[in-house]
Order: sequence, then C-alpha cells, then structure tokens
Amino acid sequence: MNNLSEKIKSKINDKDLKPKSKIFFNFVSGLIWGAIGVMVIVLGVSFGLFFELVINHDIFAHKRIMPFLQAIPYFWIIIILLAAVLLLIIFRTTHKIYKIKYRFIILGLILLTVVIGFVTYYSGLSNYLQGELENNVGYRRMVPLPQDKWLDPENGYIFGKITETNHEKFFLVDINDQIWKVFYDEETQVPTMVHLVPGFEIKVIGEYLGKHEFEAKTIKPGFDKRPAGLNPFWRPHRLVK
Amino acid sequence: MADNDQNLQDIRFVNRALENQIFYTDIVSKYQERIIRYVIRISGISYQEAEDVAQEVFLKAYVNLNNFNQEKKFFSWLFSIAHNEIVSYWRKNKKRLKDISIEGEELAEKLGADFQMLEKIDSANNKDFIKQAISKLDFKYREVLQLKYLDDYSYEEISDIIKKPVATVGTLISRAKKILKSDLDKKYYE
Repeated sequence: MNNLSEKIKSKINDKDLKPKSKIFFNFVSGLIWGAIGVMVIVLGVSFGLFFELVINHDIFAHKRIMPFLQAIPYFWIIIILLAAVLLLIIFRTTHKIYKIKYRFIILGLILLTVVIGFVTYYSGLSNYLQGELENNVGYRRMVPLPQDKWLDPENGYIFGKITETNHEKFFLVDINDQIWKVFYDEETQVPTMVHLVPGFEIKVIGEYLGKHEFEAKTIKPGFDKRPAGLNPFWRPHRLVK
Repeated sequence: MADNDQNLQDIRFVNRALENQIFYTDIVSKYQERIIRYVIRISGISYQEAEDVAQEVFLKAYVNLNNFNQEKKFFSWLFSIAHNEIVSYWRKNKKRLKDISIEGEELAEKLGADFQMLEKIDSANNKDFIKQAISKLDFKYREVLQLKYLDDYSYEEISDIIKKPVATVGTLISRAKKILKSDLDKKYYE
C-alpha cells in the first residue's frame, strides 16, 4: 500500500470517520427542497400582496408625484427582493441544478412568482391576508394603507359608500361616518363599471370645496374589483379605521 | 478500459468501501495520482502540498460516499470534490499562490496545435511565453483548459466537475483560448 493510502487509512481510523448515512443526505436534500418550496410560496404570495396594493388600491390613479411615491408598497418590494436573493442562495447549495443557466433559473423564478402572485390575487387570498395584516400596528406603520391615501380631501381624494343620489350630486359616507356632498357633471370621468346608486362603494378624485363638499373629476370603483364568484376568500371589504 | 467499464469498476469499489472501510484504499490507489496531478496543474503548488490537498479530497469523499449518485460517473463526482477543495485552498492562500508559475508545457503544445501555431510555439522561447501566459490566466480558465486539453474530458464531464452549465464550460474554454491567442498575436505583431 502506498504512502497516501496509508495516511488516509490511519486518518480514517484516528478520527473514527464513517460515511454519513443515505438517510442523512436524503434528509438534508428534503430540507433544502422544502425551504425552496416555502420560499417560492413566500415570493409568490408577496407578489400577490404587492399586486393587491398596487392594482386594487389604484396607486396609479394618483396624479401627483408625491402621493404616488408614498403609495408604493416598498415593504413588499423589499420582501420580494430578499426572498429572491435567499432563494438563489439556497439554489446554489443544491448542486443539482447547475446544468441550468442562471438566467433561466431567474426567468423561471419570475414566471413562477407572477403565476402564484396572480393566483393569490384573483383567488382573493391576498385581499384576505392584507385584511388580516392591517390589524397589525407594526404592519400599518410600514405599509401605506388605502384609507390613508384615499381619505385625504385636502389633496383631492375621498372614498366611501353612496347613500343617496340626486341630480348632479350624491352623498357619500366615509369610514369615519362623515357624510360628503359630492358634485359631478358630464365632464366627470365615470367608468362603465361604476354605478352611482346607493350602496355602491367608490373612490373619488377631485377638489375639496370645504364644509364636507367635494367636486368629482374622476370616479373610480371601490377597493375590491374582483368578481365575487371567482373569489373563494371573498368577503365584504371592511376597512380599518 | 472503456468509460463505462471504468465506472462499473468504480461503483463496485464504492459499494465495497461502504461495506468495509479497508477497501477504500482501492479508490485512493486508483485516483490519487490523477487528483494530485490535477491539483498541481491548476494551482502550481508543490507535490507535497498537493498530496495534502488530495488527502482532504479523499477524506471528504469517504465521509460523503453515500451522497454519490451511482447513475453518474464516479470520477466526475470525485473531481468535483477536488475542484471545491482547490478553490477553497486557493482562496486561503491567494497571496502566496498568485505569482506561482504553472508547469504548462504540455498544455502549451496542445493549445498550439489547436491554434494552428505549432511551428511558432515549437521554439523554446515561445513555449516559455505561452507557459507564462497560462500562468497569468484566471484560475477558472486554467482549470477548464486543463480538464479539456490534458485530461480529455468532455464538456458534459467538465460541467459535472465544476458544477456549471455545459454552455458555460464552452464559453469559459473559448474565452480562455481567446485571451491566450490575443497574447500570442500581440507578441508576433508587436
């Protein structure tokens, strides 16, 4: 037996080295793939919540730059980026997907995130989770809530439920039970999906006239635009005061 | 021995070593010289140091023997452990190893043939020049060149060793050759 073989043999004996069991490797591999699965779900759901805040809360409806910048859900952007980086690090430890080019892994990850995000959004799960999270004070500090941005009459935003309609005006009750008299005319932009009838929830962009009166320039639907029939998590939208 | 027979023999060795540790020496005896040569060629360290690195490689391989997927080639798996070991050895000793000279004569000849510049490289002066150029190459380039031109491994096998996609192996090899070729061109047209 040559020198190196001898050295290795005595090292194995001295340190009492034994091959790790197959079960150990299967366990580690299961742990890694489990972590990958969890991170993919975290990534997708985070995207769903991001999408929920961006689309359902109409951040693009803000015409001025500051309200728009303040409405961007940075919290979820950071979570998505952190989850993506963590996922790529875990991927590297698998040593099983090295045959796939990094750019394809990233592309696949983006696709998967978007698909899970849309499922989360259209199933209403993101709406449900957002509702639950809004009960948390810490979360409310970090994430701009729709009611913070859409009940700002001085800056031209109000929302609520129509209680009564009249010719060229209607009455709106907001989440603070404040009644608003809202004026509109033929120049007011009203999408076809919005019905100015009592009980309909809307968002209004316009001008504050003082004394709880408001002039509507644009009227938009309320916060939940998903058809209830497609939404297993659907529940009447409740807003946190 | 054909590749397939080699691997069947390796798998037999692995299974025997898993049953009884004393048979692990069969694996060590079969691969020690190739591993040591591989370490020296890439890092340029002394035989003694390379033997220490090889020892670590074989000990790690022994502890992780059950992690070897028997549907793959054993030598690729063993060389991938060696690759990781050299990378970490290189990182730890980067300063010391930076200016080390690599014995690249054989590689210089094979590359010369590939560049169709054999007659130019044949002169001792130019051989020295290309050896120097190989020594200056980045670690990752030197490694793929060695695996391809000296060990005659396929892109697929190199991909299994360095844990990079096959296309990336191709890119690394072609970049390495481009760098060397441009160094040679500079020398001839200066």
